[in-house]
Amino acid sequence: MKRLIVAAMSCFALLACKVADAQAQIALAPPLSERPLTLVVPFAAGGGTDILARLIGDRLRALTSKTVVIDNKPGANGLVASQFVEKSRPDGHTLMFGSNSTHVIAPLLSTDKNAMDAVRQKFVLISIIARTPLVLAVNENSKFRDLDQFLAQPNAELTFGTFGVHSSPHLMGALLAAQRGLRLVHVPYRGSSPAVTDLIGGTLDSVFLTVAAVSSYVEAKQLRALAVTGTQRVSLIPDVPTFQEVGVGGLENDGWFAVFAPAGTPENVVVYLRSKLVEVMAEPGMQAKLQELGLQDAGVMSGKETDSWDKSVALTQDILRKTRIDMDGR
Amino acid sequence: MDLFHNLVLGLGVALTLQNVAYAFVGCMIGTLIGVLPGIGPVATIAMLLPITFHLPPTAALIMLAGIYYGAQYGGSTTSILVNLPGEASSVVTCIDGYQMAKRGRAGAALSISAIGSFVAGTVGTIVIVLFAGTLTQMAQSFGPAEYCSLMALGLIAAVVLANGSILKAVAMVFLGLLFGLTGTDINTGAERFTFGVPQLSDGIDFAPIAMGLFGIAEIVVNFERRLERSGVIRVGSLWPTRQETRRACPAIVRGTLLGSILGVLPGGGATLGAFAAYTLEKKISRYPDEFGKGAIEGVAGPESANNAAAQTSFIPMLTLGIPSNAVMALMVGAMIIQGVQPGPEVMTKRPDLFWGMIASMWIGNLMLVIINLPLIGIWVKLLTVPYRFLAPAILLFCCVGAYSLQNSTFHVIQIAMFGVLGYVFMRLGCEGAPFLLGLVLGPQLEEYFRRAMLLSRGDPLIFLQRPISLSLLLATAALLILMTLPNLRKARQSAFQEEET
Repeated sequence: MKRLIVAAMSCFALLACKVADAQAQIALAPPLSERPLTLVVPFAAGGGTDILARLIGDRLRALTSKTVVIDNKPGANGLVASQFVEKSRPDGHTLMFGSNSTHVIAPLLSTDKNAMDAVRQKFVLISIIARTPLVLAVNENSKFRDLDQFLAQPNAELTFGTFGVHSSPHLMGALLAAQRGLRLVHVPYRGSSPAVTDLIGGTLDSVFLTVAAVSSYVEAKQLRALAVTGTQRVSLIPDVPTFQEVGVGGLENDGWFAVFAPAGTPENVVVYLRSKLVEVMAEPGMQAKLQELGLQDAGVMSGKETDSWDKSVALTQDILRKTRIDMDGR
Repeated sequence: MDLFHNLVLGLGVALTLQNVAYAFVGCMIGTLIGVLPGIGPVATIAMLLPITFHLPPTAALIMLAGIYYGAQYGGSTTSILVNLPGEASSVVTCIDGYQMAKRGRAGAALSISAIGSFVAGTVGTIVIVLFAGTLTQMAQSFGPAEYCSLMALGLIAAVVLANGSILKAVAMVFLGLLFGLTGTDINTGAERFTFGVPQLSDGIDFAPIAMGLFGIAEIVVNFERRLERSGVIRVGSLWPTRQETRRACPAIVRGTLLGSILGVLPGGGATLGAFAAYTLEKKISRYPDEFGKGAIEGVAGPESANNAAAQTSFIPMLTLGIPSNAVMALMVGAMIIQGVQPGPEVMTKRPDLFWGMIASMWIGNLMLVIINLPLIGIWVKLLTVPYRFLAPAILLFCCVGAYSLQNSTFHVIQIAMFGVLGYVFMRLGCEGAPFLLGLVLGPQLEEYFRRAMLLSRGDPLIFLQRPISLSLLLATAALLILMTLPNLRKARQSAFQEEET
């Protein structure tokens, strides 16, 4: 709770600066026209990303008194949405609800070697919304009681399911295997649910998924969570240690959600939207929702958007080099 | 009496004025979008999701559930009247339903499918109440190997669906499989046959193909016949004859049972149920020649099956929090927004929500049959609308529906292209249904096969070692043998006839 208050206070402080800053530039009136805001979500309606986007859209509507339209453009790991947003008019009315998956991993793994640079040039990061910790879980009846036992299997081939090839948890699992010399076999699924089903059914050894995908099964004593990525424990499953706590380094940098605008969006618009998004995310109601969704507030990343993006790219490149994940290998 | 107590609790929740009203609203919207071709429950629920933010959780979920099974009732309407499947699960209804309409039996087909849906909905709800726990365990014991064998069974059954030559049906299944290869390889992330078009990288969407192949192609063929169709269709009596009822009743029972079981399995349970029911009816019917020409069993079986499956597909979602299709995924999303964490805990933590929703399903089904039966007269009158007015309206709704799938014009272009393909198929005397089943089941077959092999470290014996998988494969083999049987029987019959003369 104390941490929350500090976070909220720093957000408000930041907000005050931003607002003053913005007002200095544009004198009171928001720098947007009467047209509605469109928040393009690169995934189908109903998924975790979509839920978060809709919640934020709902609050953004209240704070900016503008209509906020959620536009689902799923397909090609976010490429369909990215191409739509980068081609739209850079006036701050069309925004993309992206993530480290759509704006770091996908371009780095693209067959087009210049994809990452192109994405950096075509988008401006407005604000990082939340961090997405991941969790390694096994069946409750599994012989692995904790992470140490799981990692003490250098010769056994263990399977780990994720919600897709080249997903954030795929990279994390491969990194864990590479660092520890384990033989972890990646089993990609279409989404989290079928992976959880197979883990409960006993055909899979483990899953590496988002916290939201497994927390209710952990609570119901069907699955056992071994460790979470990131630097802090996740409030939905507070008893589960981080990898860092149990002495496994390298998995502190988890994924994130962020709002992007097409490059060329005027600076005052970016500043205005950033301040509003920070305000939305600082609301206690939104913080509570984040925790329910198994997410964590952006914390230190907030306010250092470009740095965070750069850092994320560098770290992901490092992981890809260590794990040798590319288009041809699993 | 725990069960009795739960039902009373559920009915108490579902019968409050507010919840009855939301169930009614959901059913009405569902019927409407079911009737409008192309606009399916997924798009509708996605659009209505923000509205549910401000409703109490139970009311919100009751309304969304109403939309879903309401669409199953309405979905058959366009299949029967204009050969346009609103959804994957009503594709098979087109085969015989549209033929019945052409013979002036549209009213009978519509009322049988409404009654069949009601029976199936009632049984489906009872199944949820009695067997939710058992069926959940069954669904959990379905691993990749089991799914793979189930898909193999489905593909073999696809050949039985066809009316004409077996060779053409096999060819269409394979063509469907080939189209199904398009998209991103799930295991390696490599793209196949996408030609750099990002919209193709998630595979070819089912709905635009179904609309193009059936609806658009039908319109093209009708125009070719110089609009004579409007005169051909007679309205006929709205009610099924005694003989039709006698033939439909057992089909409804069989379809309901099949659908209830298959609906529990994640991944297209309703579609598979409808296809399986059609196959079953055609195999055991005493009038196999009538199939494809307007057999009432070909409407009653699949329509009951898809509605039963629609009900039981709630089981994995309610008891495990695992969505079995796109609509259930949206329902899970709605629950999370409402602060209800879906999963095994819902039943114990929120019994009011759990049992209230189940009780409301039966009330919703009752409402739907009351809404739908009087509407049949109106729908059938649509057939008397001159085709030159009807055709552009159908085209318009198809385009709107295709656009609403992913808010992109790409799908609109897709229905046009598949309309052309469907026209070619019709001229060649090839049928669309086996093609569609190949397209739907092919990618799943591949996905489950490769996952099973990955999990077994490349040992193919996994398909024979797991009992459920083995029995499904045995059933597949049995079906293959059965397929050759009618020929044997015919050969035998002709031999006997020769002896007698």
